Amino acid sequence: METANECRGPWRTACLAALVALATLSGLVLMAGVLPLDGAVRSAIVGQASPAVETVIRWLNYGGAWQFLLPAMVVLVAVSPDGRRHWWLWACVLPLGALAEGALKELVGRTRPESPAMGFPSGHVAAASAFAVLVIYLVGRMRPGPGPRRVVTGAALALIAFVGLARVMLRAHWPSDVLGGLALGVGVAAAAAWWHTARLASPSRAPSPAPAVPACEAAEERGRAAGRARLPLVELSGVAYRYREAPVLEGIDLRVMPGDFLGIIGPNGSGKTTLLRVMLGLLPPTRGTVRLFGQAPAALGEWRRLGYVPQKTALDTGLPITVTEVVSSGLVAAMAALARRSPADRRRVAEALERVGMRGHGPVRIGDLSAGQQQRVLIARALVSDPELLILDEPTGGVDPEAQTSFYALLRHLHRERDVTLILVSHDIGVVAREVTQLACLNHRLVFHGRPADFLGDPALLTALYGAPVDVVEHDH
Amino acid sequence: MWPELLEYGFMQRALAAGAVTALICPTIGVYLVPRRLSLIADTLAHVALAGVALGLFLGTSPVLGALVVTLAGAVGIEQLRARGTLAGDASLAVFLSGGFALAVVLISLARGFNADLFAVLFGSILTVSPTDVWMILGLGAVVGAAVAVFHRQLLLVTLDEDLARTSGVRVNALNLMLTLLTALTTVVAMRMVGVLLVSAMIVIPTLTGFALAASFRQALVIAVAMALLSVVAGLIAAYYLSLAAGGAIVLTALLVFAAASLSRGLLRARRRHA
Repeated sequence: METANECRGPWRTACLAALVALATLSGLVLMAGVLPLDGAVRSAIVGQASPAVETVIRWLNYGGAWQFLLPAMVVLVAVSPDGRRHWWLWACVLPLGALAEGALKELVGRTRPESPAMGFPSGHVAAASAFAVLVIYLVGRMRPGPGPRRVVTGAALALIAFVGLARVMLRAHWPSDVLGGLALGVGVAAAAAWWHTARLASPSRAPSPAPAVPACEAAEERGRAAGRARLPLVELSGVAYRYREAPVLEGIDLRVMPGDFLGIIGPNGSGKTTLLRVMLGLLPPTRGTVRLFGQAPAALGEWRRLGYVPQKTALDTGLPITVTEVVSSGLVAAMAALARRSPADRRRVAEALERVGMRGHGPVRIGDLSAGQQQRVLIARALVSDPELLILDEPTGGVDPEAQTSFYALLRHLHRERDVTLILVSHDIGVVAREVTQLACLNHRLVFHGRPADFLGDPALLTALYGAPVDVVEHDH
Repeated sequence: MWPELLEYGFMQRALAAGAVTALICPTIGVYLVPRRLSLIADTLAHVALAGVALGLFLGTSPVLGALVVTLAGAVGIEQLRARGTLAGDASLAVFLSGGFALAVVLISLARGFNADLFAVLFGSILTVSPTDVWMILGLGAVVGAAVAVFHRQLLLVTLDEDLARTSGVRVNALNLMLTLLTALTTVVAMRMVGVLLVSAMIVIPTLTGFALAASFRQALVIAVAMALLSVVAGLIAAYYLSLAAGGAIVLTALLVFAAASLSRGLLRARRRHA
């Protein structure tokens, strides 16, 4: 793992040098108007060019055109983990460069070679230089081997050279304009890279490690994680949530440890779903703190460790989306941008569908399925990334009794054989109490949290939860 | 060797610009229509009209004015939606009427309509300049690249925002990006079919794709193919029958959609009887 100090040194020096060069060159141009050797350099280069070379040069000139650079920037940001994490920073580089170029041109006068004042600096060279610096920086941070690093750096420098040469050959600019564009482009991009390295160096802002581990390696990763200290997967401390002025949750303290199977029960409107949504970071708590895998949900990077099945989803039945497409969407957290679905991913999708008894339904439109079948597809979607923690909000609503039996058998298998931690919200106290290892009873406050047997053995707790005496009837779903 | 209409530079440019528009409009539409955001393009088109009027009023490029004002409007709409200050359709209504009102005021200040404004209102693909073609290609490349990179996340957000959030997708950022892409698409399509018909190019081929496809991917392919068909057929009709190109293209798209809906209905009826 790269440490903050390792990435700082050379970049900060290079960035500082670029900024100093920009300031010096700007000062020279403002004072002198033209650099001493401009005329000689231009005539030496232009004088040797044949018409065919000029045609090639005209094409090379497009290397600094925004039609080429903007899509290239999008691709660069997408393929680089640092690019994706701080995309807004890199997205500002080209527009800021253009703004600075415009401002400088206004300052020194936008004129061409015939005039003693220069058209400083060249926009094409500035844009190409800024892009090249970002390519070198962002690709460099991806730690490629020395060969690919040399190729990328060479290509980036060649882009600057070709665009600069093209600008001189096209007689639109003096060579000093090219130098000005170079200094401006490098300066703006280097300033962004400098800020980035400084941000990474700050311990309080260091990004959480979020390697893009394919889903197929999730189980192996979990084995390694098991070696780590047993930290709570979910931890709520003093959580309260109010909807407008009405209290929905009050003073919730709850911990879910690895290997737990927690059932959450309570009467209608007791705040069960709200509790799950707060736990997942979908609602911000009015008071208290929430930790998911030891982090605030907003800062969590490893969402592939979590599977979630909502109570009901706003699936548009008119949308032509297939079962396979829905289940595959569960792999989004584990896949890099532009990565194609691998055969292993396709196998995972097929396995997940088989687990929920939906084998062979892959090409079917989701809207053509019954509500119960749609719910099973969503469960398959949650399982496809092989999660460590599976959170299910009344997943058996609308599912027929036979499917419910196989569903609870699946949960038992996941919990006992595959070591998946489960949180299940349900109305069905009889079934839940029999399946889970921990029970949380909620009625805006946590009425009980402990072993199911302790709860069922105390009629006073049942009465406190539901507000009236309750008989629990055990049944086979 | 070439058909007569392809011998003219203006038709070649019109077809190139139309093809790019046909590629990107449904590409954005498939993520907007299922989320009940079909009217966002219409709203942004009216905001773009204000930008065009501003450009004409200031004596600068109308397309540049439209681009700047539409992008700003897109950010405003998304901020109102994301903060929940106004419900989705209410924020669209505010910007639609506000954009149109501003356009009318600026037009009156600029002393009435002129040819440029009519071209923007009703489209003028037959006067597309080489610069326009380059600009449309550039904007189209940005939209295409962004959708290619984020299509999985966009599909998940289209399916369910909560599922997307619990998969680590930055939903608010993605929604903002989609609205900005819609703004870019609107400015591109505006040149071809005009402000008043721009949302048709985003919505109608998408609906055709949804009516005929069995999967999301298929819907996208069909929608793009139908948009291309509409552009080519509409342009040919406009050339030979001396019709307004924008209207001819949109009417063709509507005819294709009607045929697709009819064939889907017939297929379903046959399946029920079988």
